[in-house]
Amino acid sequence: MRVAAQIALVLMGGGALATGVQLTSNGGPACRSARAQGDPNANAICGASSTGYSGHGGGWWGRTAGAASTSSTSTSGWRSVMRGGFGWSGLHFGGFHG
Amino acid sequence: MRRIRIAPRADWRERAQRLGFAFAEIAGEPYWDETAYWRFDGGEIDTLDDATGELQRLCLAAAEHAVRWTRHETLGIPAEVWPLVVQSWERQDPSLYGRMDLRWDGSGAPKLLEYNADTPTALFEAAVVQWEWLTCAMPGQDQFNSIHETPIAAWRGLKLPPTVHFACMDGSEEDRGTVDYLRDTAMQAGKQAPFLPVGSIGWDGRDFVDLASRPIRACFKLYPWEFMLSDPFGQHIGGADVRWLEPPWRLLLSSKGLLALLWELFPGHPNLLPAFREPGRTGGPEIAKPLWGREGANMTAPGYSTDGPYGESGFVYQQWAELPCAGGRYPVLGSWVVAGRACGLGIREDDTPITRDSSRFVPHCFAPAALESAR
Repeated sequence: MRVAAQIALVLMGGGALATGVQLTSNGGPACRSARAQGDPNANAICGASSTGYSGHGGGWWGRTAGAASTSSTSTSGWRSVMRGGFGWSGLHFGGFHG
Repeated sequence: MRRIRIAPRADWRERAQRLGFAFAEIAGEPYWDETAYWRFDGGEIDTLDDATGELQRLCLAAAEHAVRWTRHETLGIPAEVWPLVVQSWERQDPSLYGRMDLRWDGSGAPKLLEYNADTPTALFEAAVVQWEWLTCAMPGQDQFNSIHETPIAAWRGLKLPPTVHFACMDGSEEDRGTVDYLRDTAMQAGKQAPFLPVGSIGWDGRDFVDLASRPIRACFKLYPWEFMLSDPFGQHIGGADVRWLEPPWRLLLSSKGLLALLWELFPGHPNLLPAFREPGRTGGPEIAKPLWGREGANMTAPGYSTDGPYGESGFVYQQWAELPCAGGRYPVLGSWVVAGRACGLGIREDDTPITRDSSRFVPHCFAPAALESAR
């Protein structure tokens, strides 16, 4: 039922290393069953589907913007760059976390 | 599952600081709360793990149904946006993560309250801070938590370019902390992970560009899709060559209209609560939730209501299942899904049955199987 791992951080806390062993229980029924039965392939079973993405297996929109214009322009090569075109709704609505 | 009061570690603030946890307190109020923890047994953790996997299966089936039968009205997604969502789904654009909020008191089946499938936060504290608490305050105990290593593994499989830009609004320590933590995991997976404020993303007429005017080919944005598409640059998204995380198809799951669609497709499922787009159909007390509301805003439930800016987005009406109360606190169980798999738990508590942005994060643990069998 467990996966031993260390949590290392390369950016947060100035690149802190949080030492220790993480004991986790997860992985779904197949993973748990493999671990419970001491299956030598348990790690592969538990880890296999976590290493890649395997496919999928309103009216109020536009209220804050639409007519708004971007706030700054610069030039890169021959193309001008406009900035400030995202963030309007966030300023209007404030907190938005899930 | 039991809520147990405990003395906080004397040095918890210093420890949080060392980890880079800059929002342990928000606006002078505690957010990280280790004056209590939730204790589970292994069977309960298995129940949460299984329920999350089952709900993920249901949600993807509902998304497939929505695309096949053009159910954008049920989900409250404007018709003009629908092609972007459908194209994203049909391309199978990769998704990194999401958080299901569950109601459970340890008995019966956990119930889905909502799926934060676009911009979930409370990630760093669930992945790292509560684990650090476990190793320090509860050595020998276990925790439902592989939230750290799973994204690192997932980044390598998402088939993204070597550079992934990360963006969020300026001015929120919580947002920036979440984004920086995900940058950390991406860097450990070998990605270049530059940050820029979402308002600094540029448009050069052909590409979205960063502050050095380099094209952005992949971008993690902690900024909701409904905001992206409402903003002035929203008009360029469909024609730009960018892999967005989360991708546009996550609108199918982040709309609370999903709850009504799920109940329509899987009526009576033990992990679902009755939910409809119209009031009065659940057969009992209901909570009205804005389709695109966030942080508990604009909710109306028996005896409770919250204000906010989301009242014009339409509502879903879900059977009222009040959160359990322990020690005067109401916990909601945030079950993390990374690359499609359940991988851990984070618990937030409020002093009302509606979880809001002022809710506190409380750690959890469970007894390892060896300890359980010895008892």
